[in-house]
Amino acid sequence: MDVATLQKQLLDYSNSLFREGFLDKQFNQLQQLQDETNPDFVVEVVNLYFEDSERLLDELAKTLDQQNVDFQKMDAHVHQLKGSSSSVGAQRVQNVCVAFRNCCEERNIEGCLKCLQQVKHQYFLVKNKLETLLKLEKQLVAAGGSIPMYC
Amino acid sequence: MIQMENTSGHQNSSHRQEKPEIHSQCTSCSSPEAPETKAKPKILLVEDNKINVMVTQSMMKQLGHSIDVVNNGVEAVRAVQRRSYDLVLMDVCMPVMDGLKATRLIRSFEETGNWDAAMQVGIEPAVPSSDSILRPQRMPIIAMTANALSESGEECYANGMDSFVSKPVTFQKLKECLEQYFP
Repeated sequence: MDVATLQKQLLDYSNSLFREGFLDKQFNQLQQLQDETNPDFVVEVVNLYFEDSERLLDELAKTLDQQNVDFQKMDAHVHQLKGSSSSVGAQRVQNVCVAFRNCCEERNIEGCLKCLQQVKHQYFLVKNKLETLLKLEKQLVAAGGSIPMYC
Repeated sequence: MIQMENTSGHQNSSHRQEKPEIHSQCTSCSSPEAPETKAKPKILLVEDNKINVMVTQSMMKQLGHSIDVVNNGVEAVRAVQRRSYDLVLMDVCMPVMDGLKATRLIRSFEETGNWDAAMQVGIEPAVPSSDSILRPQRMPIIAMTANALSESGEECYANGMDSFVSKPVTFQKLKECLEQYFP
């Protein structure tokens, strides 16, 4: 595929992610941090986000599995996940975290279980989307194009 | 242009040495002062979230600043004991010790000239307190808040913070903050 087609494909895809609320304008902040001195910044920070989020999701599952659920500990984990999701622009994940924190505050186990399901669902969705986005970017660059600023 | 600083954004508490730029050497000066240096402001970031550290550090780098990073309030107090900072960016919610408490301890030092309050909670001073004879200068401490109920602007001010930046941290927010304190 030529550069123009690849770029259009990438823009169409990224536009859909913003439109559907998977990503918000914070993702542009990450793009702006990528330059010649930091050429792989977006990939690096996104990968770190994946690593850290999956660790937190595991911790959350473990915490909910306990006989006596430690709501404070759970809240701390959700707070972390909310924070990092917010920093990379993973809007849907961030929003579920807000609901999750409310359930923690209410000490509502059923609510927390539902939220964990939802947050995992949204996380793996955005992970998939981001991986696709980054793959399209890589293809474009390999063909000689440069990554545009989204939205 | 290759930057000399390592900005991989790793989370380990790193204390980078600032390299002051020496713009003019006053050879005829009889003053005991060191040659005139135009040193960059010394900035400390106190943040436990790895992703936030990476993003904030890269933003500061783009703004022309290299920063020291620590991950909780206790480490922040220790860092401040070791060197004087021109600005502290303090996350509010952190494990071990939160940003509000760390700020209170730092302000106590600035007001009294000693680290007694810190010692009371188990933080041994890095330097003997006899060194801090002069009253230390108040350093700007900027809270980084997550807009949670427990992190209101009022509470930040009440604990001695000078202002706050709401998360997620953006390039623009940091730029405005720096412009305010380093015009």
